[in-house]
Amino acid sequence: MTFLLLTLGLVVAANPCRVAGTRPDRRPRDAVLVAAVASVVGAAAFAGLSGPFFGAIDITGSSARIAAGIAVAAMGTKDMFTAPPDPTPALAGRWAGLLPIAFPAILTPAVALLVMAGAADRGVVPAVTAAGIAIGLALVGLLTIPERIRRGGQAVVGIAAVGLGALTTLDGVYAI
Amino acid sequence: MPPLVRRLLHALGGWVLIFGLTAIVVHPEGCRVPSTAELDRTASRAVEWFGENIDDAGDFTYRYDRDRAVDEGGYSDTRHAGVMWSLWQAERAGFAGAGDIAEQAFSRIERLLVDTALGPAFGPGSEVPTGAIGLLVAALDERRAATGSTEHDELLRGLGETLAAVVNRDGSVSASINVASGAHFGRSPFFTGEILWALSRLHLTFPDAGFDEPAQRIRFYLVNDRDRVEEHWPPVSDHWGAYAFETMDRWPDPPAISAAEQEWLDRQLGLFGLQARYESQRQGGITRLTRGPIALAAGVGTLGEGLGNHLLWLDRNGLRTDDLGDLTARADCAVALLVDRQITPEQAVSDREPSRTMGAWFRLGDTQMDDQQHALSALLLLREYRAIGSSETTS
Repeated sequence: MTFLLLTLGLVVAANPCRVAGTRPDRRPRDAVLVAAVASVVGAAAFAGLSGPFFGAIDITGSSARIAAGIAVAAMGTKDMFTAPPDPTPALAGRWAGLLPIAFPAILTPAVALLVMAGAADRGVVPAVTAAGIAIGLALVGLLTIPERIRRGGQAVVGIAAVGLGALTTLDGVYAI
Repeated sequence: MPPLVRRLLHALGGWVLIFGLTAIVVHPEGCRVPSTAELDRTASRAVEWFGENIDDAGDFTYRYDRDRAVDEGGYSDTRHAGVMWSLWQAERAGFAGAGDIAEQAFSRIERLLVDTALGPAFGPGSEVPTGAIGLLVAALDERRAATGSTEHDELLRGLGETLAAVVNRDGSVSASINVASGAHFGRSPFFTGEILWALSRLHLTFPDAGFDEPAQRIRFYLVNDRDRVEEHWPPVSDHWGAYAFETMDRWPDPPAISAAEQEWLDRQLGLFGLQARYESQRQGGITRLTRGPIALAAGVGTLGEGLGNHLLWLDRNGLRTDDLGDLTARADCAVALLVDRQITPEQAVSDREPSRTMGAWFRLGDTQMDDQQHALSALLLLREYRAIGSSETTS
């Protein structure tokens, strides 16, 4: 799996238009800061646990990419046909960055599996770097994407996720 | 329930759903690293099966139904020659007695040798398969290496000339020869690699006989054109091609690896790896529904052969070092499946004909002699790789 495929996959898995739906009405920048820290820590934890996790369930790195690709495509399909999430219910104030922004909007199962598969293939640092880029874009999207284009944008990114999920799956299929 | 908790539970439900979906597609892979002692024990039992299942005329039990205790008949001369190759490979690897069984199997060859307009060939009937000649060459050449005997050199050269004659101008290989007319025709997904390997071996043994030129022609065709021209999709998982690449790498003047060959190698390694991973997911229970029954041991054996041969020549040249770990893991995995699936003496004792089952591999109650053949070769190749490499496992 190339770093580019990993990064693009994470960007569409952490669909910025979907994440934008969780933008709090008040003091969103404070929440974004919390979300950034929580999401990067979460992604780093997934990356760090990749080896033990796949080892425990007897999955090779190549097959992990198949699983991650399927998860990304499944999330993309969901994003194509559902509305962006609401900002509420949420934790109060800046802690909205934890719930619902970091979880469940950014740290989806697709992001988790793709970060773990990326770490298994390319190492923890590249996987966390790619996740950091995707998280950054998602949070920039949260602050900047206007409401009127969120639903359409989420669907378009969802289509891209289906395509990139398929490519990730094929990458795992053709790998040793 | 508070809305926030409901949201949390809803999200967790999504995680369970997605992980459940992926678990249907990707199952745990029951892979392990078999010990060298296990390889030796399993290979010995396979050799023993051949010794117990050859008759005075040199024919092996071809197919046997364990549940009904019935010899199901049938025969394949290509597979007969393949078994001879594996037995000589075992003899050379130190499994005493394997060569004697192969010598006994030569009785069938002597009985079925024919002169065609192209040269000597082997097989009953008016048309003979070229793949059988290719594997016979490999077997006799391995015998030469194992015993030092040059007794069959004339036959080897003659068979080589026959093989060179069925290589077409574009490098494709005819699958059959008409004994009377010498006309050659047809294609086979496996014979191309078999004959490439046979000619490659002959060039090592007889370097001045010109067997390298047709071999190079086949190699170019196999890599660049075979799958497209012969409409193979997915591409042929070519363990015989792997044997050929390993052998050609030992030529005094080994061919350089072209860009097209690098791509072909990528595809081949991916095919072997994918199949090993897939097969290792067949662990009974629910996987019988999602993955179906286990593959033929012959099929699993070819994965070990393909991986083993590519490991040998890639490692020897320090190539694909980033992939060697994964390749070794897949080879270990395929061979471990064979070790675990072979019928042991303890399992065979309750069979009606234990000598027909001990040391064999069964799928859906049946075994065929090529199950034992490909499995044996895969075991021996991994053993050889461990002996020369740093991946020795002695526990």
